[in-house]
Amino acid sequence: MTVLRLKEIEKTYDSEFTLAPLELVIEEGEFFTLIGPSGCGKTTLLKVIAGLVTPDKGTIHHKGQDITEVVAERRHFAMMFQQPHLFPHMTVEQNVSFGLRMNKVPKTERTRRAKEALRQVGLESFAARYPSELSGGQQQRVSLARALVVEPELLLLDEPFSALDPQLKDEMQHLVKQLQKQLGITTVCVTHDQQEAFLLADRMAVMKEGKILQVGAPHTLYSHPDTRDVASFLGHTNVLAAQDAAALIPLTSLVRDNQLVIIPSEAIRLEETGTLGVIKHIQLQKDTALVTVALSKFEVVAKVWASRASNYKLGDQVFLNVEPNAIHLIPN
Amino acid sequence: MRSLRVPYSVLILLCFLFVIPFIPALLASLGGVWRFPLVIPEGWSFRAWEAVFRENSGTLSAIWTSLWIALCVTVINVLVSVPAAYALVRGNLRYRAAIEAILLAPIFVPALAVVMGIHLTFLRLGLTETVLGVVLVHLAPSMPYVIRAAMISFETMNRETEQAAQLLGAGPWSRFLFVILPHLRAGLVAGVTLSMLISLSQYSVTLLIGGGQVVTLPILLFPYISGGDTSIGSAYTLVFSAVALLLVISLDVALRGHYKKKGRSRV
Repeated sequence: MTVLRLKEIEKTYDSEFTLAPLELVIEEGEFFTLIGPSGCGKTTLLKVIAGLVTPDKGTIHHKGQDITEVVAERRHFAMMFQQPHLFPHMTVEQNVSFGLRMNKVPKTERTRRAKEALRQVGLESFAARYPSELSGGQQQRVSLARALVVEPELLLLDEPFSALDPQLKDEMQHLVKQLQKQLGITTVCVTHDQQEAFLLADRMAVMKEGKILQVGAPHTLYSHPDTRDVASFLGHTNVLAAQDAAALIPLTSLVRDNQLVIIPSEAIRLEETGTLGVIKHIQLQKDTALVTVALSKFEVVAKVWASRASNYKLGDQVFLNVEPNAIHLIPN
Repeated sequence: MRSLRVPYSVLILLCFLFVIPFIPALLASLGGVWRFPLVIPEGWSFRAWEAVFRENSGTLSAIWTSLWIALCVTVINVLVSVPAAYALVRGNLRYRAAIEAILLAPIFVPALAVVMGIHLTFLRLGLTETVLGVVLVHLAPSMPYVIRAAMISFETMNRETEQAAQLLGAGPWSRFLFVILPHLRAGLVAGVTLSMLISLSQYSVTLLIGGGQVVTLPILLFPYISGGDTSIGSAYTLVFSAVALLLVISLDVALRGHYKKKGRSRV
């Protein structure tokens, strides 16, 4: 079932930045991620959904009802920000039950539900503390409990993990994903972190300059990007003209000259036979290495195990082979 | 929050500096004659104190008038300054800098410079010699400080905290009551205290607009200092200081009680 439908949404800020007319459909229970470089309008779009920013044009429908004119406090959505933004003068429990209090839930039920939400995020023993007595990660978990306790129609996440250090980030991502699945809350998350998007999202939308370029499951977008922008945003470095790619792999006659060939770097193998190239650059990572290989007219990047890469040195001659099923064609 | 450790010697020095000015005042108020070569006054008496607290001296009514005027001034200041500061900080106003400059101008322009014009206007409106008139004229020198205090509070408040509350179902009033006001409290304590003290210590504008009919503590005190009976003047000075000190302490306890108790707020 469709939970949220955005139609022809437009928003212009001082003619500097425009959210192009865009369409978006969010399905019930899914974890939907908006991803793109900073300044692409993903946060603005999230705030339009939240009701914090009024679009210039277009409509938003929630479960069939037009909510374009409904103020944020009546939408029954909840939001988590980059910072926890807890209310410093309230205890952890008062913070968590704030939304229930605003919705006039009786006190005993408020307490019960706040305790339950705190238990879900593993902070039940912190109920009587004040936010300033908690660490950053704990505060962000309280912020999650505060958002979940109201059983929102939609959970909005505005880069909630980006201010956390790596280990906490992993923990929070797993906690959010687990609770989101367990409670079945439809979630829209903004991020610029691809790893996070691939880890969390059921579907995602890649944005650039106020436009949605492509929507789909993360791995579908990775293996079948529609455009060069989507491909390069998702980390494809080997986007080749068809006539160049022909040097690496036998292309079928279906491929026309005006098409581009995307070869994922992990689909290129360094072997005993194949297309000859010279190693130009080796970028070592923890487990894998990116090896830049120069061919006659262009360069490609191959991803190999780091342990294998250490056998090579700059200037070595290598033979390249490409996994033919992994390549993807897009129009130029 | 880690508390700042001040050496006891510094504390004692500060207390000493605070107390010193009151010693001569106390001696003068208790002394009979205090002329040049005498280090301490000659002949002790409670004459001055008896004069201050004589039944028809008007001291108590002057204290109440002063406090009542200061309270009215402060309530109006808070009611006007909080929305004004909100609009200035959040409102995306055109000519914001100019509006701010005009609102804060009384800090730089002495009230006495404009009080002649105000006096003329108040005469036409029948506001002279009334408590209301005095309250209105006390607003000018005190309001800028309250606006400044409120503005700084708003500037240090993240808008997303309000938005978080809004998405949790808090309408404009709830947001103001439960989120904005508690955040403002620390800043407003400063503004309210200043406003009270500034109103309490106004002399010239009170005299001009009040026309001697609105008797506040400074009105009672001044004639004794400028040539009258310095013993009584000294006694009044001490009364005045005691009132101001008690006011500051009680405001601090009442308004900041929460933060003191917890002692850990980051505000």
